[in-house]
Amino acid sequence: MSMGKTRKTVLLALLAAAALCLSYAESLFPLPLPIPGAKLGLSNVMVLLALLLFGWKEALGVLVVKVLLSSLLFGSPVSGLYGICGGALALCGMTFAGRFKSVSTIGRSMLGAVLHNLGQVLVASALTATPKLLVYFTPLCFLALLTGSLSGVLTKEAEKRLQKMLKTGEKR
Amino acid sequence: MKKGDFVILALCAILGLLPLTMLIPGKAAGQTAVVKAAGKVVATLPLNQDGEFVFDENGTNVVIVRDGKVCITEADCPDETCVKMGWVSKAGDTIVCLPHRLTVTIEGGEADSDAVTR
Repeated sequence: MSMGKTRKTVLLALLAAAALCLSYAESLFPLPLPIPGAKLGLSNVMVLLALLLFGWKEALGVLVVKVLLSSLLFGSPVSGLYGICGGALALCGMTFAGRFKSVSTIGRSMLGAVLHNLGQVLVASALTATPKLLVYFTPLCFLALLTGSLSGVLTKEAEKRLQKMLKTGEKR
Repeated sequence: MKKGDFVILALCAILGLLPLTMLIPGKAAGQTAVVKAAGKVVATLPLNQDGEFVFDENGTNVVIVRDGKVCITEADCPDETCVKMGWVSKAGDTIVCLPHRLTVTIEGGEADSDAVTR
């Protein structure tokens, strides 16, 4: 998308801020599920939006800002490590899936959600040297398919509106 | 949802089921080798102590324990199947010498670990 540098910077900063808020809000209201660590993954909507509107570099920027700030403000270095590994793997998958015409935003979001969980489980089993933790990925993966498709619908709608908004904004 | 989305769905579901293969009970490393002749226990060898043992119950078998593994290196039975079975170390593994009615069975060993991440 072509737009002024300032507009782009402001929009990316807004996306990163929204991602940070969403990840904090989510930590306040854990899902009523017997699976610790299960989250809606709403902040991934913002990363995917940045990916759709701009590209993987910009999306990576949003991701890094979000993870860095949330681990500084609400978490720990370890939670930052989890976030960056899961997020980076998710971003790789979502970028790659974007190369296929037959994959919609919903599919990219699902893949991102699943890979996010995979990255975190991999880090957890590596940090604790317990490969058996990977078993935990099974329930997380199926939950991620559900939450990922929901946030995919959200992303699709948000993108539609943002594109329209940015277009009308451009004319002024 | 488009066609590619279902491909992703299917791939992710398979990926999600993969770790379940880890739940298939694998054999844990054993702790002792129990030697039986004609059904009676004649020796219990701790696997963490290397050594060479000769059993002369119904014929001669030389059992060697080394690095937590057990093997019959020599036997005067006609087929020497027990020698060919090589080294064993996992719980439940067994070396059998049918002509001498001698068995070496690995026992013990639950190596389950718990960990907490925070």
